[in-house]
Amino acid sequence: MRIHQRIRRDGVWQSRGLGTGDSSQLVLAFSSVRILAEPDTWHELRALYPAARIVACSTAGEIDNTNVYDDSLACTGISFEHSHVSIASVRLSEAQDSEALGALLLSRLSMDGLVHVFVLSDGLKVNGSALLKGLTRMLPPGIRVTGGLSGDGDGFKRTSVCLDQATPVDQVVAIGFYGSRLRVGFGCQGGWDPFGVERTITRSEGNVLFELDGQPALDLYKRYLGDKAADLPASGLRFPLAIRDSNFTAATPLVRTILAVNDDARTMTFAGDIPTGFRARLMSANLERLLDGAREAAKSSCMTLGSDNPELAILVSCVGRKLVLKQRVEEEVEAVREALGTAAVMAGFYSYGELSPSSTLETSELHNQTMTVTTFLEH
Amino acid sequence: VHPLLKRQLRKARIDGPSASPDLAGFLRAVDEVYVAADDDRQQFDRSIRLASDELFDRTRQLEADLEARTRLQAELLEATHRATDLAGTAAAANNAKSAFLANMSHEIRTPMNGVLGMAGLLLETALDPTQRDYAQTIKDSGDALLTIINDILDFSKIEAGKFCLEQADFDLRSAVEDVARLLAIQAHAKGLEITVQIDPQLPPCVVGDAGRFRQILLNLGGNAIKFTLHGEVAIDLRVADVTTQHIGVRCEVRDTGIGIPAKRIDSLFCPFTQVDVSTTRRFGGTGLGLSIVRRLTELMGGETGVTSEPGRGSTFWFTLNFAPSVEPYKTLPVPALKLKARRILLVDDNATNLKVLEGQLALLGLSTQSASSASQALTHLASAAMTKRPFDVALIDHQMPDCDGVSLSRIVIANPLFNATRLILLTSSGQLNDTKALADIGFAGYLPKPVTLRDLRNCLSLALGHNDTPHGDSSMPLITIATPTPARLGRRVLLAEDNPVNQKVAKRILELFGCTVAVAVDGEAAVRAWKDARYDMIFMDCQMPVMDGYEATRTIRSLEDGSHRIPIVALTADAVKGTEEICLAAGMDAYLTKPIVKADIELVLARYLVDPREERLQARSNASRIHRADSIPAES
Repeated sequence: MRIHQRIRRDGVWQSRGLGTGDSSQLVLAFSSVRILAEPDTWHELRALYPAARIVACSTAGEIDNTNVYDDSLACTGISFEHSHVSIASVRLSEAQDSEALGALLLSRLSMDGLVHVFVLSDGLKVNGSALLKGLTRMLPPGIRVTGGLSGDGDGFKRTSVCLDQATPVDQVVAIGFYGSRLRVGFGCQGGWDPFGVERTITRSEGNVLFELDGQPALDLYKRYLGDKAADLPASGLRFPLAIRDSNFTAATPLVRTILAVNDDARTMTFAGDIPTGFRARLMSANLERLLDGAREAAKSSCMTLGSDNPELAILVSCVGRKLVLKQRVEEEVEAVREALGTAAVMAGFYSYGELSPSSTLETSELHNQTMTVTTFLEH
Repeated sequence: VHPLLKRQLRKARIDGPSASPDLAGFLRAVDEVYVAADDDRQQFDRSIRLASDELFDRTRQLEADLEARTRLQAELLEATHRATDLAGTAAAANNAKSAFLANMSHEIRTPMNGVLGMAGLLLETALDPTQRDYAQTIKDSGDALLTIINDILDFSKIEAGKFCLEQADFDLRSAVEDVARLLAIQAHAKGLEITVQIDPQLPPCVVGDAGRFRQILLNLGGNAIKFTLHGEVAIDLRVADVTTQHIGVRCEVRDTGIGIPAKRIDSLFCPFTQVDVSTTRRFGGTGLGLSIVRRLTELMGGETGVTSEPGRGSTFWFTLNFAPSVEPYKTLPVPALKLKARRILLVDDNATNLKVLEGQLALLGLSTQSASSASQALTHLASAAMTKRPFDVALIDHQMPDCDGVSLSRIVIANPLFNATRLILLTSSGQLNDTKALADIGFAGYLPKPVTLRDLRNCLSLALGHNDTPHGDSSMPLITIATPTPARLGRRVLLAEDNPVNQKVAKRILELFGCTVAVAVDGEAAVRAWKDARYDMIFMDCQMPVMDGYEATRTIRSLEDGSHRIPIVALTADAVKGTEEICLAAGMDAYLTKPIVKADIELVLARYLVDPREERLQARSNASRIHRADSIPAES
């Protein structure tokens, strides 16, 4: 596997790695909605990577090695020696709902020799939980899905996922990785801790939360946020919800993060399902716990990869973490680097939702407020 | 700019606004960190405060819930205690009620025994018509009162779930016949015909509660008679299904009475209901009878029902399940030899009755000829006399159109050609009790309908035993069902009874049946009497001073050598559960509930006092035993 990275900041390109990357088979490009929409961006990319399939997605922050930037164009070109990729995309308009969307997407991927699926999705209109449900239902055993929902800084207005060109439509892209010599690992950790009383989700529909303990959920958030309530939905990311079913069947609670609020209906939209009858607690975080989480995610990824020396690591972290960590956000990327060692190439972005199994025993789920690390190794 | 940063810049003498772009950028970053740190701390403090408040509230709420629950629990516990107390009180009250009922039953039955017994005896004496009417009214009223008491007691026991059914061998056919005979007294008094049909398939012996079966049938039959003004009451017992496990029977009581309106049928079997209030006034009754019938049949695994057509009549039916008897059939005495080959003339306008009589007489080994009218009877009599084969006995129904039984008999008696034939009148009981008048006419005897085989055999034995006496001899005593038969005549019976009234009643009844009665006033005296003299049977009152009947029985049983076991029949005023078990456990053979009635005594005597001659006969004819000599097909 040969990897070449280059990043454009304030109009200036910097590159890292051997060669120019012009022979890359696959390019992952992370940038802002605005940059991805510019035709010049794509002329440039096409010129730089004439042979590659280019998959791009908008972010709430680009990860380049151990740096985190806003409004940059971060590209990672990959050429495999023994493996290959196949890419499928589905427009949101093609399916009735997110679950059907996932199923349709999978149907467009060849299953022959498939090793792993990496998904980049629209970040605001797709219900990530349902998407994964549709995707994983027909997936062959042992094949995992990782990836993330595209972001829009702290704006929550418009996200975009592109395949080979600037795309005016909303879509979901799946990259299928093939080849017997390719190994893929995954890890996913949060670092947030629930606090305060546990409440019952008394009214919800899909990923829209109406009431907790019979009270409007938005009122509860506004009470906790105080002055910061004016900055909703971004300020709501300070308080993700830990949810679990009332029978304690899942070992760890799921973490849900806020995507949008509706002041008139006093409802909140989350990045995944908020089932009625589940129990919910607010969560908070501090620096040390978040860094621990990032480190653990990287370690788990190496463990599932079966190697301490991955060649490539794609990091998908949550915008909520970035909003809390602020200037110290790079410390979590450094924590990942510590765990992976110096050899691995690191790329990634801050997202509106992370896709990964939470452990080797479970299927892929939508996460919020986590650091997820997908590692690759060709041998 | 954050106040802290402002102060730090002032102390370091750095002028923020005029700083170089690099320094300004750095200072902006530092300022952001300060502001963010303050924000975070404020947010954190706010979260802690709110969460603490919420946890506090939640704790208070839980405490309140817990308190409410504890209170509820205490209330529940108290309610449970109260309920337990109430249940205890109720159980105690119920036990007291049961005991009271048993007691009351005993207390009421004892004087009733005296009233009914003495009234019965009074009716056996010579009375002028007014006195007879008064005495009969006393007896009828007493009987009615006893019925009401029994109904209420039964109903209470069934309601309290304390009703126990006997499981003993009994002869279902005889039970039906006995009931029919009792019912006939009322039926005939109203001019109603009563007929009995019994399925020939009926096994001779079943296991069940004979007393309760009789009660059900008596009740339905009594009702049928009560509500029927003209016509007949028919009892029809059929075998519904027989397996090795059970015998299902269906019994119908049909009447030609006033009938029941359809809308009343549903409530008919409910307690305290009668068809309407005016019916109650007209016909009387407690309104408990049918509900007792229904509950009894249910207890015995059966059902009850009714179909009715107002103005045309009603059919009450019930089904019952009995267990088959595991005992071999008890052999009844075969008929005395002297009855064989005798010729009997039957005269009755009712074809069913003729068939029944023909069947019964055939079983007794007698040949019969039937006549359905007086003129036909005279023809038969004449031709028999001509052929020198006169009838030995003519059984003549009293009620016949054109020429009734008495008129016919007067003609027969008046004709010397027929004087070899003795005449027996078949009467509807209660209708013709003037025995002296019958004897004066020249009848050898009379039998109340419906005629049972037992009565028929006894009566014919007596009548034919005197066949050297021509009829018309009024010096001969008239034969009735009460006439002592050779089987009973001169038998010695020991009566152990402390109550003088009861003593007198029982002694007189036993004497009516030809028994010689010795009286013992307590158990000890009874045991002594039994040791001193030989008795054929003992009637033992259960409650007696010095030594009670149970103890006396146990003593006698322990002293018996085994070769001869004397029948001991208990007399008890307790119609309550367990009495029978106690009696049998003490070694008694049967028990009778007071007040003692003639029919019961008769049944017991028939059962335990077997004619010694018949015993010998039976021993001889062992090879060809005739089982159930009185199992007569109703139609054959």
